[in-house]
This record gives sequence, structure tokens and C-alpha cells, in this order.
Amino acid sequence: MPSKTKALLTFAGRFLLVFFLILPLWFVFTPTYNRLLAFSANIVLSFTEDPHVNTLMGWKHDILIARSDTPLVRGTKLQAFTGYLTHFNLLLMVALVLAPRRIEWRRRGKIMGIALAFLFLSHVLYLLIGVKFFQQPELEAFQSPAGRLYVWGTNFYLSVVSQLLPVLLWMALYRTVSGGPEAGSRRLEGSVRRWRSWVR
Amino acid sequence: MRRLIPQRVSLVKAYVIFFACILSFYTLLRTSIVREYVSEPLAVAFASVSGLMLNLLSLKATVSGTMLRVEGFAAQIDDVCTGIFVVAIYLSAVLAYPSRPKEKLKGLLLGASAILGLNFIRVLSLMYIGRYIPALFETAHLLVWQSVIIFSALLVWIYWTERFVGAFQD
Repeated sequence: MPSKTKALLTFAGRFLLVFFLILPLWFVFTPTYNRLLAFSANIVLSFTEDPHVNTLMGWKHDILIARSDTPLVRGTKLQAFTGYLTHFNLLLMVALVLAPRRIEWRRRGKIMGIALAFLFLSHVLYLLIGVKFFQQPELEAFQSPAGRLYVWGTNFYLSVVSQLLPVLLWMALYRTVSGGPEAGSRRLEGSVRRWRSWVR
Repeated sequence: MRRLIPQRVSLVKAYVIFFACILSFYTLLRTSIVREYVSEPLAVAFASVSGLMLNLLSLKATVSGTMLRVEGFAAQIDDVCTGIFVVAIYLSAVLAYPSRPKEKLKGLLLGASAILGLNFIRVLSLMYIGRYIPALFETAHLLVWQSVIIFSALLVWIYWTERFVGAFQD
């Protein structure tokens, strides 16, 4: 077996190992992360609504939307974001950052920090855009041009962007983030193929 | 330093092609014509072959269009479940990477067969999970397999660039 293929298989093995090790942790962490997302989105929402009627609440593995102008009675249909769909790409991101060998931990930490911050912002943005359309009756949201654009955007995000984002971030950050002064001076020397060496 | 400028230009060009391809493929896959003549038949084929395989693996399965049923569990295979969107992402990456047309064709054949093959295993495994461990179905469907499929596309793409793409001259 060629050494490059062997290296690729090793990378795949390490990715799967890390992925399945952090999967249980993700379940434990999800309710807390949902509350953090809801809290952050609520801060932004308070600036975009007048009067402020929508409040997000992290509840177990979902993020609920509560409206202050609608009394919560038995049988009320609650709109919610499914946690799985909102931020499952965190797992992929963490596994991609931890799987490669021969990377100093300082650099790995930097990449992880930037990547998670970026994903966090994308999750909050997803919630904010979602709230703006969930608050309308569903049919109305589908009929207006903005509603149709939202539906298109949501489908595009869920079926393409949410999966692709960690991979693109991983590739971009490994090319640009340096680990120390020496690596910094070498930062611009990479070619299109350079990042490939890091998976070995 | 001078050498880096053309490299940066080619990198930006690659990214632009990549995103343009993704948007085009996604829009195309959402049109009713492509849905009717590509996505739907692919989903039906996935369901049929999966049903056949499940029967061979002694899990009695029945297929009706895109609906796949085993004892105590049923699932509908829609266009997202066929892996066609991941193939579109992979194809965009192959088209964007500087290489010759023949190499791109090899990359397309290699990647599409690998991704669709793995997706086939995904469908079979999900039917088993749905039948025997239904509590884990959502996790396996939405968390584990989505990540594994996109990671496999990344791996195949790296493999293609390593093994099939020679030094490209603009």
C-alpha cells in the first residue's frame, strides 16, 4: 500500500476515533450550548424588535421560541429549533481539528478557538433569521418573496452549508493560522497543495 | 514573494469556481425537472436495491416507490438521503481544483461511486438501527452519518489530488 494512502487511512481512523469519543460529550454539552445560543440570540433580538415579543429558550435538545403576546395555554403549538440540525457540525469541526498528527497543541488550540467562535456566530445567525420567519404563520412565510428566500436559504444551509462549513474552515485555518514566530514567517510559503501534508 | 502572487490568484480562482459550482448544482438539483428525472429515480433505485439487499441479509423488506419498510420500521428515502448533494459538493471541489479534464473525469467517477456506495451502506445500516435500536436512529441519521459522508467526500478528494492529479500547467 502506498505511504500516502496509508497516511490517509490513518487520518480517517483517527478522525473516527475522535468523533466517537466526543459524541457522548456532545450529548451532555448540548443542553448547555442550547441555553448559551438562546441567551446570545436574545441579546441581539432585543435590539431588532420593538416591542420585544420573541424569546428563545434552550430546553433539553431543542431551542424553543416563546412569544410574550401569546398566552401559553394547554395545546399551544410551540415552534422550536432542533438542536441536532442547528449545531451538529460542531462535532465534525472538533474531530477534524483533533484528528491530524504532527501539529503543535498551541496551533491546534488557536485553530479550534477560531473555528468554534465562527461556528457559534453562524448558529446564532441561523436562529435569528429563523425567528424572524417562524413568528409569521407558516403559509405567509412561504408566500412572500422574503419567506421563499428564507425557505431556500434554510434548505441550502441544512443540506449543504452546515456540513461544508467545518471542512472549509478546517482547510482555511490550517493554511492561515500559525503556531509561533517561526511558523509565522513561513505562513505565506504554502502552495495550493500544502495543507495536505498536515493530515499525515 | 513574486511566486506567491500567481499562487494566491489561482487559489482565489479555485474558491470562486468552487462556490459558483455549489450554488449552481444546488439550484439545479432543486428544480422540478432534475427532481423528476434525476433525484426521484435515484431515490427509487436506492430504495429498490436496499430492499433487495435487506432481503438477502434476512431482514424482510418491502419497497413501495421511495418507501422502504422492514418489520416494525419504515423510512422514506428522499433526495437528500441519496447523497446527491454531497456528490455535488465533491464535484464542485474536483472542478475547482487545477487539473486536466481527463483527471477531473476520473475524479468524478471515483468520488461519485465512493460516496454513493457509502451512502448505500448508510441506508442499510439505518434500516437495521431503526429496526433494532430505534432510540439511536435520529443520532445515527442526523449526526453520525451526515458527518461521516461529508468526511468521506473530503478523503476521496484528497486521494484523488494525491493519486490522479499530475503537475498541472496553466
